Formats: sequence, structure tokens, C-alpha cells
Amino acid sequence: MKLKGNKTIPNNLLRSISTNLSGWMLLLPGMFLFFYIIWRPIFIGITYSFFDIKGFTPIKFIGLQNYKYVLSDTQFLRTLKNTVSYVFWSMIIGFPLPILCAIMLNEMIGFKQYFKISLYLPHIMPTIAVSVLWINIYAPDGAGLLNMLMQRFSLGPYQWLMNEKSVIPLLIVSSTWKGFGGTMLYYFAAIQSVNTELYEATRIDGCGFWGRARYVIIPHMTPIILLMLIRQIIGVFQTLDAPMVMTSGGPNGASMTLALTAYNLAFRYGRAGEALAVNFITFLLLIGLTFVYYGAEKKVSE
Amino acid sequence: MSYYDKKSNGLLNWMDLKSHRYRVLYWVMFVLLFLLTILCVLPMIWSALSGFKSVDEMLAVPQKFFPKEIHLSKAIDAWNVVKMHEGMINTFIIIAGVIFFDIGVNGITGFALSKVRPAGSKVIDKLVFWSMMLPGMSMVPLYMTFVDFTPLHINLLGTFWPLWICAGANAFNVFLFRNAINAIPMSYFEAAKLDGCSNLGAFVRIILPLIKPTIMVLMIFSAMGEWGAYLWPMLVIPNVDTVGVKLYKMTNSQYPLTMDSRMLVLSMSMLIPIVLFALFSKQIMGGLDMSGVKG
Repeated sequence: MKLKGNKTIPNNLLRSISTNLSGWMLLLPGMFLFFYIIWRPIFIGITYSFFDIKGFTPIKFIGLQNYKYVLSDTQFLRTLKNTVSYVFWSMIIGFPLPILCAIMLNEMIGFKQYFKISLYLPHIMPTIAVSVLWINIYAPDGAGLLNMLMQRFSLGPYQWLMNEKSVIPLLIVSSTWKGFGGTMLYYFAAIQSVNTELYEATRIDGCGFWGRARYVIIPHMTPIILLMLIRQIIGVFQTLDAPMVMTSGGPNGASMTLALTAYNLAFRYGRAGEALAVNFITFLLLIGLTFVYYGAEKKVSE
Repeated sequence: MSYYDKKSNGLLNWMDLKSHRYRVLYWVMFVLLFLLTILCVLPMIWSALSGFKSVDEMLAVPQKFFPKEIHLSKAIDAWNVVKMHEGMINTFIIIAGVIFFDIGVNGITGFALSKVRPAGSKVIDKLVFWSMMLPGMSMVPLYMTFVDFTPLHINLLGTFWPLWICAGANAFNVFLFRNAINAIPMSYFEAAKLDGCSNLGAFVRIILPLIKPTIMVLMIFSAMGEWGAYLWPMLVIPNVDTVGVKLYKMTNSQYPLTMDSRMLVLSMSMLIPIVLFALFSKQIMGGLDMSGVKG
């Protein structure tokens, strides 16, 4: 027995080495791409933000000069404020809507499928098509859908996106229109996973509408609401599409975001180093939130 | 009476719905949802109809909702000006490559993390997880990577490779594949190995056919995502127009189109996503099970 065992050990060892090797061979292409597409860009992005870059080739280390350039720009603080304002409006307009929709959808006896599909429909539109569509809805002359409706009530025509005060909430309305259907489905799936016995139990205990809201629906949805909240903040903080296509950051810089500033610096003004500085500042602001998300998700999965 | 009787879950049940107060609440919710669906669908219908109006009709005060007459030739003209077919072919080429890299790289990585699990692959699990969590630095360093694709020192701009390669590093999809493959019993994989299948052979012959539903959903989502992409394609393949890029160029008035024809182009660009949705609405709305996506 012992002899046999001793003989098989090297064989086992060889076999385990070869299975591990062939396993790692499978992981190799993925790791190669992850390294070059995700990890290395983060690393070189941070490093090159301290470099002088000419036409996407780093020339020499210049310390904090890119950051000085970015921060001394009088527009930077305003842009940061705008970006926060995007997040603020998306919390007010875009955050509660899918939650309420999912709850109401769950109450419906008939027409459930019709509601679900119609509310989801904008979500399948390509991002760029949504922006183009909403440019036309907000068109300042009578041709826009909104002004057309306003004219029915002898109002307007309004300037919509040309107004510095209303441009950010209006952009948020358009991105909410596209996005809320998808988020709603996540919430809806969460509500549907409530154990039906709980409803029965609350009925027997004499809980009414508020009781069920308080003891069944809300506790069940809190974790996913928390996750979606943080995801949304992180996502909206990096808003680029809507202002780029719909307003180019205007009027007068009122809808400029950090991401659009970085994009313009890099691909319009040939200032890649300064763009990376803006990106790294954004990255630092968001990384804290990422850890909060991580903590929240861990709690949820427990 | 019977309309409410079956309702046993949700905030309101059949007992509540016996009282008038809650019935009113129910119908208020119904009407609210109905109004919201109109808000969702109306803009799309309006854009399609506006395309057939003349400029005068669009600027008329008050504007009519329906156009006077619908000429399909107008749609064909607009299509030809933008050369939509060209954009669609390019987009399809991108989608095909993206799907290939998605299954070929993310799928195999997910497979290795789920079934093969070589010693130390837990580290890779964590790395992939954090790839998904990190906010990402931006397009600038990624663009620099492709200007001089570092391992080979070649410039990949102007080719489809950057778009395809990037699809192969999708942490979220790795986890989707991993979770789908986790659901397959280990014994299937072991049996294939005993019969002399290599890892790759087992993946292609045993695993892939068993996760067809996941692959379907991922393919549809990739197709829809690429359909609207314009920023990254515009940067890395400036010489090739995708559907998204064509739409972006249209907003910058790079085509000799009047306002009404632009609306037509917009509606035409939505055709494929709508057809996909009509065919696969069940898979799309069934969605992706996000619950298991964690490290």
C-alpha cells in the first residue's frame, strides 16, 4: 500500500500541475485583455496626468502643472458644481420614479404586460437616438413637441435648453426617460420575489395598506434601492453623452460636466495631460463612493 | 366584484379593495401608469410622424400632430442621403466581432473561474470583481493604448480591433457567464473530461450549448449597445461611420437634410432595436440575473 501510494504521489503531482497549467492557459487571454484594457489604462492614466503630453505621447514629467492649469481655470469650480447639480436633479427626478412605477405596476390586476412593455420601450432606444429625439422635443421654435403642446394652451414658445437655469433638469428628464424602465425592472423583480406567505400573514395580523408597506415592501426593497442609489450617483457623476450631443455644455457653460471638460481637453484642444488631471480628480471623488457601494453590496448579499 | 377577488399580493389585497377608498387609490395608480406609458410612447410616434411633415407643417402654429400625407419615397431619399445601409453594415461587423470576443474571452474566463478553477484562480476572481467596481479612468489612456498598442507596438486606430478587443474585457459579462456555468452540474464537465475532452473542447461542446439562453440575452444586449454607440467608434475608427456616428454627425448638420428628414432618419435608426425587442421581448425583459454578480 505504502509503496503504491509513494509511487502515485509524483503522478498526482504531475497531473495536478498539468491541469492547473491548462486551466491557466484558459485564463490567459482574458487576463491579457483585462490588463491592457482596464488595469493598465488606470495606471498610465494616473501617471501621465503628471506628464506633459504632446499628441498622446508623454514627453516629460512636469509635476503638478496639469493640475494647476485645470484648477486655476475659473470654469473648473463651476463645472464641478454643475456636475453635482446633475446628481442632485437625478436624485429628485430619476431616482424615485422607477421605485414608484415598480410598486404601482405590482398592484395592477390587468394590463400588467402592456404597462411593463410600454414603460420599458424607451430603454431599448440607442443613447444617441434618445439625445437626437429630445433635441427635437425641446426645439426652441414651434417645431418642438413641447412647444407644440404648449401652444395648445397658448403658452410659449419657450427656450427650454437655451435657458441656463432649466438646462440641467431638462437634460436629466431626457436621460430619465431613457433609463427608468430598465431600473424599474430590477425593482419589480425585487418586489415579485417577496414571499407570498408574508402578505397572507399581514392580512391575518390585520395589517392594512400602510402595514404592508412598512413591514413587507419597504424592508424588502431597501437593499436594492441602496445599491441603485449609489450606482446612479456614480453613473450620473460621469455624464457625458447628453450635454455633449444636446447642448455642447451650453448655454454659456451652464450644462458643462467634468467628463465633457476632459473629453474636450483631450480630443478637441489637444491637452491630454490636463484631461487626465480632470479624470483623476473625478476618479478620486468616485472611488470613495465605490467603497460605500462595495460595503452596501456585501451587506445585501448577507 | 370578481375583478378584484384574485388579488392576494401587493400593497392592496381583495379585502382592501372592498372599500371605496382603496378602489379609488387603485384606479388613481392605474391612470398614473397609463399617463406614464403615453409619455414613453408618444415622443417616438411623434418623431416618426413628424418625419413625413413638410418644414412648413412643422413650423405651423399650431402644429398638427398628424402629417397631411405620408410619402414613403421621402423616407427612401433621407435613407440615401445618410447612406444608412453603409452605417448598418459597419455596425453589424462591429456587433459580430463584439459577440465573438464576448463569448471567446469573457465566456472562457467565466468558464475557467467556474469549472476548471486552477490553483490561485481566486485571485483572478477578485481582480475581475474590482475591474467591475472601479469607476475607470476615461477614454484618454485607453485611446493612448490603441494609438500604440503596447504589446505589439502597432497603431490600431482606423481598424475595428479596438472595438472588438474592448468587448473581451467586460467584467460584468465574465460574472454573468460564470454564474450561468455555475448552474451546470460539475459532473457534466467531469464526464466530458473522462471521455477525453480538453478544457476547450468541453467548453465548446458541453458548456456553450447548455448556456444558450444567457448567450442569447448577451448577444441581444451587445447588439443594442453597439447600435447606439458613437463616442468610442468616432474616436477609434474616424474613417468608418456606424449608425450611431451617422446620427451624431446629423446633429452637427453634416448632412444636407431638412428638419423633417432628420426626424425620419432618427426613426429609421430605431427600427432594428424595435424589431429585436419585438422578437425577443421575453428574453430582454426577463433580463439578466444581477443578484449573483459579486466576487
